[in-house]
Amino acid sequence: MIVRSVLLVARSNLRRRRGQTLLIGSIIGLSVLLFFTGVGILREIERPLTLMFERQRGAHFTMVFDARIHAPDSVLSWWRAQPGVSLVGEATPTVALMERSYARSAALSTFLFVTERPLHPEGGPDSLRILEGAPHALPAPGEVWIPTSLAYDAHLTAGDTLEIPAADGLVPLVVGAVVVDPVFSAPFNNPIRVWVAPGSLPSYFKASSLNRVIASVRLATPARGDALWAAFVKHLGGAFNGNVYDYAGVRNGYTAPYVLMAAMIVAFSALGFLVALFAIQGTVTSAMLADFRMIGILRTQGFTPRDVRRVYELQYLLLAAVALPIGIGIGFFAVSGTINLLTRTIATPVPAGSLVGLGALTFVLFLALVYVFVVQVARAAGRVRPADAIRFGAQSTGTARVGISLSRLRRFPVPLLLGIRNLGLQRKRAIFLGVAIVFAALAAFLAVNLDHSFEAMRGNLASFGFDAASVRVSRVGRRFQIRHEALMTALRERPGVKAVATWDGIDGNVEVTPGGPNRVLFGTAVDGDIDGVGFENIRGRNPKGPGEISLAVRTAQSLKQDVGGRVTLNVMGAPLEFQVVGVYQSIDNTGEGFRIRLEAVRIANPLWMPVEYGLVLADGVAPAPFIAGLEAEYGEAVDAKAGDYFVHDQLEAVTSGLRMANGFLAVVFLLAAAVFIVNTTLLTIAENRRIFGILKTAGMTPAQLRMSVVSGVGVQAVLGLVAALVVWAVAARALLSVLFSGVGMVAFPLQNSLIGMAVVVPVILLFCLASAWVPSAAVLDVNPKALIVE
Amino acid sequence: MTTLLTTRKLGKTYQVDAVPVPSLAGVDLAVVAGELVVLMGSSGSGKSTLLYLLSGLERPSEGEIDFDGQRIDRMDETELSLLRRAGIGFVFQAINLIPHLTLFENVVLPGYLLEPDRNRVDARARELLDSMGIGRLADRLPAQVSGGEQQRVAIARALINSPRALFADEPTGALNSAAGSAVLDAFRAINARGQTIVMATHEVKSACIGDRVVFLKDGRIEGEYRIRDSAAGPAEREAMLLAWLVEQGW
Repeated sequence: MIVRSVLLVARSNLRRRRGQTLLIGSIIGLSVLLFFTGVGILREIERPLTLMFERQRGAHFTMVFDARIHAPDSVLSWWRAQPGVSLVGEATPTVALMERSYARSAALSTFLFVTERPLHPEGGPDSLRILEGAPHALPAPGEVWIPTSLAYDAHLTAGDTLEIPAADGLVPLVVGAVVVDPVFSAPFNNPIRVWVAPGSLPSYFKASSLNRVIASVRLATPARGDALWAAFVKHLGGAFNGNVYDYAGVRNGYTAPYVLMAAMIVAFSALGFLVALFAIQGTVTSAMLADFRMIGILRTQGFTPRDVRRVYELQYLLLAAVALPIGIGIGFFAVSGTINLLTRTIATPVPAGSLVGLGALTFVLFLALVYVFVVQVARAAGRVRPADAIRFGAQSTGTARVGISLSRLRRFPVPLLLGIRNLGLQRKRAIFLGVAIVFAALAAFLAVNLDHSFEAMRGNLASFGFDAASVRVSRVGRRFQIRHEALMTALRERPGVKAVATWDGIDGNVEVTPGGPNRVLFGTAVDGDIDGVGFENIRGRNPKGPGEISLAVRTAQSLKQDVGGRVTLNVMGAPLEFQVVGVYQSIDNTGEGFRIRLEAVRIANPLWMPVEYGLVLADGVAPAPFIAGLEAEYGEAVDAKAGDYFVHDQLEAVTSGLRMANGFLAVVFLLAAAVFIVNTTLLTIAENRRIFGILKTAGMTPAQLRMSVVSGVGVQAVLGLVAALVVWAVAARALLSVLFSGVGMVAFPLQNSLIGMAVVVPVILLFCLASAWVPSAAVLDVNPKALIVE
Repeated sequence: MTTLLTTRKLGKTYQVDAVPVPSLAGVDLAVVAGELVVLMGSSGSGKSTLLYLLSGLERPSEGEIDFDGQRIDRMDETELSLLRRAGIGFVFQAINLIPHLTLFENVVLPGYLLEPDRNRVDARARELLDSMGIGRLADRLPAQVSGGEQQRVAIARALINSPRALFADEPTGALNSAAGSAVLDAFRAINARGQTIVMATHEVKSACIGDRVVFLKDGRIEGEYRIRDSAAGPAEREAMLLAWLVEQGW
């Protein structure tokens, strides 16, 4: 019977305070939404990849090698004989294009492995999932199947034309299908694989270039991958000459660009969680303080202290039971929507069932937390003495001196004086609110300054690991070619040119540990005035002779090398010994790679010639007319573009993704701070109705009453902004360097935007003040009659 | 003799769940400067409502209130606030000191709202606390002193801006008899210095410090009784007032 009475009072309380019920319900719902979204994304980000890899029998090793060096049959036989290997594919002919392909009359920034589709791919590793195009079993002659990453990057769809550089110039191939290729569909991969009809490569390329094959191996036990690879290299006599793509690298290719965003989401969900817990506790406390007389009445009607506690426990459990599923439900769409956006190139949605367990766990966790908090707070309700509660309501009997004394603040206007003093009275709440403002400000600073840094990247590509050339020239034009030496000399002597350097992609095989497994690194062969075009090192210098190398920072870390060390690099089959003279950082290729001199490459292949050139123009020489002049002179023998073109081509997707993510997070943080400020303001007013009544009676005007509430938030916002500015000044560069180290930027070249900061700081301050000003209107409803006891 | 406060056909009707509940109707009252007027009546008679209306804490439903030449009933909330700040002091039965401020800070706070020279406010506060006999307790918190001492602080707070009228709602209602007597002595003393006071009470002893008693019943003034016209001693005054109140239907 008493349970029914308790339920009756609990439901009546919820209905009676609709506004407060809605407020607490929305805070609970919002906090669970944030928590579920943050944890959900972190937990699920790899699941679509794992699922796709499972469904499409993704290869754990994809080897590209010269059939003249390693006999394909021997390689495949060895793998088939190993325990723990589930599938070994055919060794299919492939051509690694070292020249640019074209689509929609524009050069692609991605290089291609043009690979023949096996005649019988069924049951083998790396099955393809066709997203667009005719569902044939194999590409038709004249067709090319491209991975989603290339299709989205170059805006290609089925029926479009892809032009590849072949023996007789550019060959147009019709895009027959857009496919999910397990190993090569990660965004920002370079090079990537495209498929052509079986037996069609000889009709496009010279026989001399048809020596490479690509072979895939899928493991039953991926954990044995390292041991198997080491055994394979040993079987080959100590070195594998070719490229290998392992599962860890593939996974990194899918997830690395989102490392920063994932870290931000974790920080955000942690703060959101703390804010929510405190808001729930504070709101329940204030609701109870306001209910003191009602509690007294209930006690006189026979409610035991336990029954009174149960009223509140039940009241907020009912509310949480409604709010939590709503928050989790919205979070479900947020998680699956975000992950599907992040992994759109693999077109594998997050399986609905995978989030059900997390949702249930989150529901139980939050319900338990709400219950624990309410039980703690509701103890006070059980201790209420009926007579005192009915007569005086909730009165403070505190004898502790808290806050700053008025004499210290007497020079301030009274509303500000009261606002500052209230901060000292509610220290815990003030600290939480301050932290929320600091986080919101830091998120806004991050969004503004990261955006500015990436914008500045266009003018200072060298700091991100690229060259600082103002014009880039590709020697291999669409129709004709010019010799390297001739072009280099011509460019050096051309008026208006300050510095010329050349570089081109090259791969090298390096021993991770002496006698241990090898790995392939994608690096750069450089020549000319590479200091002049802005190649920088974070330690040491650029290589000057054929025996010198500089390593990208993540490569140096993984090889445990630094300036002064020595590495052996297998370039085009020739083992070359290098001394490490520099370590550089680069966002390109997620911080992996090396730089060696052109002379070193020519030890292995005297005929090797680079195709890319970077020019720094003299002061006052504009790139556009310079490019026009170059093209007028050389026609289609060269391709010239402004130096930052590939920022648009290649990095725009990464930077715009980060901008969106940071902008989104900044907005969410600000909204979270706003919700917290609104809630804190309403709580402060609800808990201090009597004091506001006294102040109103003493002659404070409505505007002064509101200002006394708002000024406290204003002081906190100012302090929070100052703290955020200090934290940003002291820690931003180091923090960003840690966050970006996963993509190769160990010393992030942060460029603070003074204008951006000058705008953001007052905007946040005004936003905080507005967030407090709107709910501060509740103080006007305080009636001094509440001070009068009948 | 200057009339400080005048009401004409003053009325107040509350809306309780959209149902009109009349609390006060047709009240005509005049308070002379320097007078101590006592409002009496049984519970629900409207004395507290009249006190709120006179002090600008509540707005009338009908009628006029003239305070020192200003029409309170026509003032907006900001004008009322400024009037309360400079012209009106209020003392509550529940005392209502701000619990986390010291006694001294409670007194100076309204003064800081009005007077830019805060040294003058501080000096005035110390003077008032001394005059109430609680100057030595100035740095204590309300919870660290007795109820009577708290109420004397509340009176000092009400007087900090030298209001033209002091309103008191059952100022001794929450106090024991000794503390209540001390508070009444304080009222008597400040009234003797020319302070206009309007006090609502249901205690005959408290009412006897006034110049006249206005008796309310069912929201209307039933009659007035002039105490100081009587030359009798305190006990006789109480007896005579009691007899008059009984006659009025108290």
